[in-house]
Amino acid sequence: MRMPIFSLLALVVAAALFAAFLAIGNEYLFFAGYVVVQYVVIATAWNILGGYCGYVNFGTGAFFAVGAYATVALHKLQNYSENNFPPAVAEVIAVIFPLPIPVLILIGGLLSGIIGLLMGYLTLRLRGVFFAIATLALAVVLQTLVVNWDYVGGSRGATILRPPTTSLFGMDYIHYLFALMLLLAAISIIIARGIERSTFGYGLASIRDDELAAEAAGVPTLRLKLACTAISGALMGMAGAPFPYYVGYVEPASTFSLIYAVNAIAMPMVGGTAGWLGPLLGSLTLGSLQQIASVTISSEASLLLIGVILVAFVVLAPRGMLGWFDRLRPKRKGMVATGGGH
Amino acid sequence: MTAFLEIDAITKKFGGFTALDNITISVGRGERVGLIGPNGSGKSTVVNCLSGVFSPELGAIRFRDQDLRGLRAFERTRLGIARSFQLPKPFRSLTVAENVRVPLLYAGRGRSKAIDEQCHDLLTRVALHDKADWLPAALTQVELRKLELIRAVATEPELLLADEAMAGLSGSEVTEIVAFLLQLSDDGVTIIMIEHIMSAVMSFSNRLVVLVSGKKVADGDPQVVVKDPIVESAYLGQ
Amino acid sequence: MSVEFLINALAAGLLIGCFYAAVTIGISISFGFLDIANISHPAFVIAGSYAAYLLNQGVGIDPLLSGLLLTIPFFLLGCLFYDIYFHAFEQHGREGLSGLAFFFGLMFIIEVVLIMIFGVDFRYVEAGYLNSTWRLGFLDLPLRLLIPSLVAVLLFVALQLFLSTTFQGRAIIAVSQDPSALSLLSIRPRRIKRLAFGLSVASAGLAGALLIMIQPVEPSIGREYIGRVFAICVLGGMGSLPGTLIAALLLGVIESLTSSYYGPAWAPAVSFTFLLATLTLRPRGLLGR
Ligand SMILES: Nc1ncnc2c1ncn2[C@@H]1O[C@H](COP(=O)(O)OP(=O)(O)OP(=O)(O)O)[C@@H](O)[C@H]1O
Ligand SMILES: [Mg+2]
Repeated sequence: MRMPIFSLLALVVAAALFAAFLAIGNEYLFFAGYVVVQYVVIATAWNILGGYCGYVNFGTGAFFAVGAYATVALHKLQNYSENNFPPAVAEVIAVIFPLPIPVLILIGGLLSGIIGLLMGYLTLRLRGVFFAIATLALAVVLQTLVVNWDYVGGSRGATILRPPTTSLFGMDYIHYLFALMLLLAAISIIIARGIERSTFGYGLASIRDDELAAEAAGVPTLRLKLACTAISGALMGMAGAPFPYYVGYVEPASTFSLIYAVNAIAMPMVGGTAGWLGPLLGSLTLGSLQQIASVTISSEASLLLIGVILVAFVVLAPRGMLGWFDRLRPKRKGMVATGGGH
Repeated sequence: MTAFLEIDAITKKFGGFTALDNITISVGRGERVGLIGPNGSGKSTVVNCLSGVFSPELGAIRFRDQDLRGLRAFERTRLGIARSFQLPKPFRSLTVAENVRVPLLYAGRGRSKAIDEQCHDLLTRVALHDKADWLPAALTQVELRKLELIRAVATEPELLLADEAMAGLSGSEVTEIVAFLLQLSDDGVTIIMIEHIMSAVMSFSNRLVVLVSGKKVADGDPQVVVKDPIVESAYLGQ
Repeated sequence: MSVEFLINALAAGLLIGCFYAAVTIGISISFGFLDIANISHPAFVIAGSYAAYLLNQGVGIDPLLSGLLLTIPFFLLGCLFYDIYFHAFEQHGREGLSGLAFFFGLMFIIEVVLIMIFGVDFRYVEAGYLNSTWRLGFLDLPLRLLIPSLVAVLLFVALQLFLSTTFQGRAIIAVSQDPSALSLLSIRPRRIKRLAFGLSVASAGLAGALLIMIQPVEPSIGREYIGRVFAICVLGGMGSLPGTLIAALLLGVIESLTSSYYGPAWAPAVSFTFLLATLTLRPRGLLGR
C-alpha cells in the first residue's frame, strides 16, 4: 500500500473509532480507551528504536514523565508569573495561557526528544547494552530531580484542575483528550510505517543486524541512532503531555512508574517487533487485558500478569503474536532458520 | 603527486601488545596487492585501520592525497574504500537483495538506474539473482562470501579490501571468486587481497606484501617475494 | 563544616562502598565475565533481603547466618535461570533485545510479587549487635554498617581467591576471554558459565541479607542499585575484581559526601552521573587500557 493511502486510512480508522465511542456513549469506555490508545503511542514509539534499530530503552517512564511534567510546569507558570514576574511578562503569559493541549504535546515531545538526543549522544557510541542500562538509570535520576523540585510539587505531586469542557465546540474534556490521543496514535503509526519502507528504515535495520557491517556499507550509524532515539523519545513525551489533564493529579512515583517501561517493552515483544502492526496488536491486547484485570482482580495482579506474559513471550515466542501467522505468508527461504532473532 | 593509497608508518597497539609495528605500504591505482602472513600477523588489523574501525596510535593513512585521520568508517566507505569481513557479516533480518540495497542507498553513486535494477545487476554478477528474496541464513558458505563481496562492490569502491574472501571454499569456488576479483580489477578497482590460499594469491596478485608478527618483512614482485628466505622461514618456522 | 564531620562521612562512605562491592561482584561475574547483562541482579538482592527478613522475624535466625544459608537456594536459582537464558537466547544469538527484555521482566515480576506479599512498607531485621556503635574518638562506627561491610570484604576476598586459585575459577576467567579455548581442554563452556552465573546470584542472596542489616528495605529500592552496580562494574573495568572494589569504594565515598553535604534525596542522582561520566569518559574502566 502506498504511504498516502495508508496515512489516510489510519486517520479514517481513528475517526471512525472516535465516532463509535461517541455512539456508544459510555464514559468509562472513554476513560479506559484513553489509556489503551496512549499505550499504542508508547509501544509504537518504543518499537521504532527497539524493534527497528535494536536498541532497548528501559526509560520509557522517564520520557513519558518529561512530557507530563512539562505540562505541569507550564500549567503552573500562569499563577507563578502573576506573583513573580514583571507585570508586562505576566500579562503576556495571561493572554496566551493556558496553552492548548496540542501545543503542550508539541512542547513535551520537543523536550523528551532533546533528552533522548542527549542520552544517545553520551551512550550510543558504546554497545547497545550500555544504552539500555543508562536509560534505566535515567529514570531514577529524573525522578530524583522531580522529587526535589518544589515548583512542580516535589514528592507530594501537583493537582491540575481540568475544565469540564473545551472551548472547542464545547466538547467534553475527556472526549477531547481521547480524540487527541487517537490522532497521536494514528500519527505514530504513520511515522513508524513510513520509517519501515524508507532509506532511514533500511539503515536502522542494518544497524540492528550488524553495526560494523552497516558502517562498512556507508550507513552513518551514530547519526541514524541519534535521530531514531530522538523520534522515539519525542513520541513518548507527546504521549505523556496530556496525561496531567487526564488524571488531574500527578506525582512522581506513579508518573515515573516502571509500568510504562514494562508495557513499552512487553507490547511490541508480544505483538511482534518487525513492523508497525506488532506494537499495535500488542498494545491493544495487553492494554485491554490490563484494564480488565485491574477492574476484575486487582491492579497488582494486572502488573504481575504483564510481567509474566512478557517473560513467557520472549522465551517461548520470540517473534510475538505475528510470528504465529508466518506460516500463512509466502515462504521466504531461511525464515525458520533465523528464528526472528535481531 | 603521492601514491593512490599511502599507509605511512602506522603502529597499532592493543593494550601492551603491538599488533602493527611501523607498517608502511604504498599502493598505486589499479594494483592487485596480495597481503599475506601467518595467523595473527596483523592483516585484518591493517584492514580495520584502513576502513576506520581502529585508529592507529602512530603514523598516517592517505587515500588520494587525503588524510583519513578522524574520518569514521562510513565516511571512508563513501570516499571509495570498501571492505569485506573475514567472517561474513550479512544483515540477517534482510533479504539478499535488501542486503545489497543498503550500500546502494547509503554509498552508491550511480543514480542513473533505479535501485531495484542496480540490485538485480549486482546480484547477477555473483549469480545470486535467483536468491534475491532469500534470507542470508539459507545461503551456503560460498554464497555468503559472494554476498559479502558484492555488498562491498555495491558501494562503488575505488579500493577494495577483501579479507579472506575464500577461506574454507573448494578449489572451483576459489577459482570463481578469483575470476570475479580479476574482473573487478579490470574495471579499474584497486584491490588488496588478504589470503592464506597461496594458489589464489599467486594467480591474482601483481605484488605481494608479507606481514609477520605485525612487521612488514617483504614487499614486491610475488615470484621474488615467495622465494625470499625471510618469508620462507616465517612460514616454515610456524 | 568540621573536620570530624568530613571524616565521619568518609568512613561511612568507605563502609558503604565495601557493601556496594558485595552487590556488584555478582554483576562483575555475570556481565564482566559472561557478558550477560543481568539487570535483575538488584532485584535478586532485594529478594535476598526479604528472605532474610522472613527467617529473622519468623524463625529468629540471625541475618548473617541466613545470608550464608541463602547462598545455596540462590545458587540453584541462578543455575536454573542460566539454563533458561542459554536455551532461549544465547543459543540463538538473541541476547540483545530478548535477553534484556527477559531480565527486565524478571526484575519486574520479583518486584511486583514482593509488593503483593509484603506491601510497600519498609521492613528490617533485628539482632542484638545491630544497635550498638563503636566510637573511636570522634569517629562513629555503627555495627549495623561495620559488620556487613566486613562480611562484604570477606565475600569479595573469597570469590577472588576462588577465581584465581581453583581450576573452575580459572576456567570462568578463561571463558570470558576465549570460549573456544575451553572446548579444547574438553571443559564445557556452558557448565562453567552456569556455575559462574549461579555464583553471581548466590552472591546476590548474601548481599541482600547484608542490605537489610544496613537499612530497612522495601521492594522498589532495588532499582536505585541498577545505576550503582553497573556504574561500579564498568568503572572497575568489567570483571576486574580489584577494579570493582576500588570503584565501589569511590562511589560509596562520593555518595556519602553528597548526602552529608546536600541531603540524602540527591544520592540516587550521584550514581547516574557517575555511570554516564564513566560511559562517556572511561568506558574501559579506571584501570582499563
Ligand atoms: N580488538 C582487538 N583487541 C585485542 N587484540 C586484537 C584485536 N584485534 C586483533 N587483535 C590481536 O592482534 C593480532 C593481529 O590480529 P589480526 O586479526 O590482524 O590477524 P590476522 O593476520 O588477520 O590473522 P588471521 O589470519 O587469523 O585472520 C592478533 O594477535 C589478535 O589477537
Ligand atoms: Mg584476519
